[in-house]
Amino acid sequence: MSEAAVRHRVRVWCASVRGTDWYYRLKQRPSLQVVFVLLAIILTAAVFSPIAAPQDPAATCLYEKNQWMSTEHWFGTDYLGRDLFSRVLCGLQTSMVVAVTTIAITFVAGAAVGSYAGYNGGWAGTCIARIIDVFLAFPSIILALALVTLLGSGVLNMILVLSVVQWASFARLMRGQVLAEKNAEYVLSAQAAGLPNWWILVKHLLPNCIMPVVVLATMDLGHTILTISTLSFLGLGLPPSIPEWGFMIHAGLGDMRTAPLNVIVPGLAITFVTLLFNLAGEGIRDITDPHMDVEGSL
Amino acid sequence: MHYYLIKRIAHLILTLLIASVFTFIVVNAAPGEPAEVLARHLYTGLEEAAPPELIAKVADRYDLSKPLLVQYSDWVGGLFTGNMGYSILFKKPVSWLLMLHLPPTILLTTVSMVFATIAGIIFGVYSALHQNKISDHLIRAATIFFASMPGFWVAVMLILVFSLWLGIMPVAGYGWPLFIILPATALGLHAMVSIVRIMRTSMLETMEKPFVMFAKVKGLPMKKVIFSHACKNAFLPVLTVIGMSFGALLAGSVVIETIFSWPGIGEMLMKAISARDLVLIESTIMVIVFLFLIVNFVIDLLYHIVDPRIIYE
Repeated sequence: MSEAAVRHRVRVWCASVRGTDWYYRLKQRPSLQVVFVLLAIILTAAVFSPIAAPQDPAATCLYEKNQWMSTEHWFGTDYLGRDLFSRVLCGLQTSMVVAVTTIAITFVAGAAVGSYAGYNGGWAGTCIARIIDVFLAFPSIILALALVTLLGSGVLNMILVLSVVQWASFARLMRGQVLAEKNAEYVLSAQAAGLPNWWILVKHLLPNCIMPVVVLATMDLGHTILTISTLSFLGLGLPPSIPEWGFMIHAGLGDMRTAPLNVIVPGLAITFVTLLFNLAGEGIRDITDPHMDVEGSL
Repeated sequence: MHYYLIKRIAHLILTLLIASVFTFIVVNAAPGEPAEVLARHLYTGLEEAAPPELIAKVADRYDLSKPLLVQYSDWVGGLFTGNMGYSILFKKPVSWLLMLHLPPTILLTTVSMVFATIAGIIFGVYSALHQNKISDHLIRAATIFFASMPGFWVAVMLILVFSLWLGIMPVAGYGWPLFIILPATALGLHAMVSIVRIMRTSMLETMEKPFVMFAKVKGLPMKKVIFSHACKNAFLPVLTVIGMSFGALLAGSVVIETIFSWPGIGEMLMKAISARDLVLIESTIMVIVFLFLIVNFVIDLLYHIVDPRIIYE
């Protein structure tokens, strides 16, 4: 493809984006734009954190342990004299890798299972609905605890555990969406036209059902980060050698009186990142759902 | 109504049954021969390997040599009869341990829930009545901020500020009423946030309804319109959120109880998990699931009492 053709395509694509409703609503909400920019910064920081960290997050120095903020150590040092800022930055990468992978898996699995159960109904659909109920009957951390006992710690195991815990809420939402939409006229007309079921599901139903699931995914990213940090705070899930916020707080508990930064800084990091995902989730809901009025947004 | 009740109970039992199978499989599929782990725990100490004849003896003594299916049916039967087996960690019957540790958890979750409901309704109604004013924005910003804070960190921060810096609260322990304040706050915060948000939305919707308009028009004082007309009708969605939050509270109690050394089933579960006490783990998880489902079942039935217009098919 020549350069001119590429340019033309980009221009057409930009024009089509500018014409959409959600772009118009996004333009009206400067606070939401700020949230998206901050999220972009966070994601970039997560990707480049090992390079961007000013100091080696694993370098210990017992002479400098439990220090307050200084120009050398922006957020102070932990009980082994490791630079807290670098450790928080690397903890961001850990959390984001686990959370994004988990949500990607649960999104695909939940949407597939949920839309199948919703569209086909029958005994298979009922069975799936029952299984979803069972998974939702476990309070999420409890199920995660049981699975961590089974699998042991590790990044891959953590992703697996969180996916098993969370797919059900996606499946339930997707099933509900498909159930609500499947008797709509456009679906009936597609069926009357003799289109295959998978085509109707993917091409007609999915675009109309997917946005609430995307909103749930964005908010669940924040929720997953909370769950990861809770599990590693309890000493389960991730091995202690990987910098992780929950475990950093756990490790800082002993010296909490003399070095409160050890528990404050990672906690603030968790709160900040989760807050951004929550705000982004609500923002996406506001700009994509035409029924929502402006009142609901922050 | 009767048909609905029977159907709901059948669903409840089915869900519990599948959940018990699932729990049993997950916990028993954990690596490590249970009899061997048990033998080491009981007799030889953790580092030494247990001799095979001892393992065989232990397996025989604790019914671990039976096939898994028999073990499962024994366990499920035990859940009903109260004979759930022995905890290797505490060297006591599991049912006795659960009886001992359930009341503190129920106390803690109830206090948190009551606190969350009352505070949630007050803030939610206030926020709705002052829509788009500064206070409304502040409350909404605070809810979204609190919802993003992990519960365990809230607990740690509360200890740091109120126990270590100000010195007005005990750090940890079990007691009444001073000891329950910090854990109940930390535990109930997320539930409170969801209740504030649902109450606000629901209240805003209700205030637009014709009957509220009518109450206003006929000259009732605003207090009366809000409290005896609007609030009651706006409460229904809160009931659902209370049910859902109860699961989150039970799950959160595992963390909060561990931090505050609150002697509930959550703390016991954590100890059981670190000691790989399988029987205790699976029984505790089933009790938690059971509590969660029962509370939601009761709340489902409460709908009809709160709002008689809701009739079950």
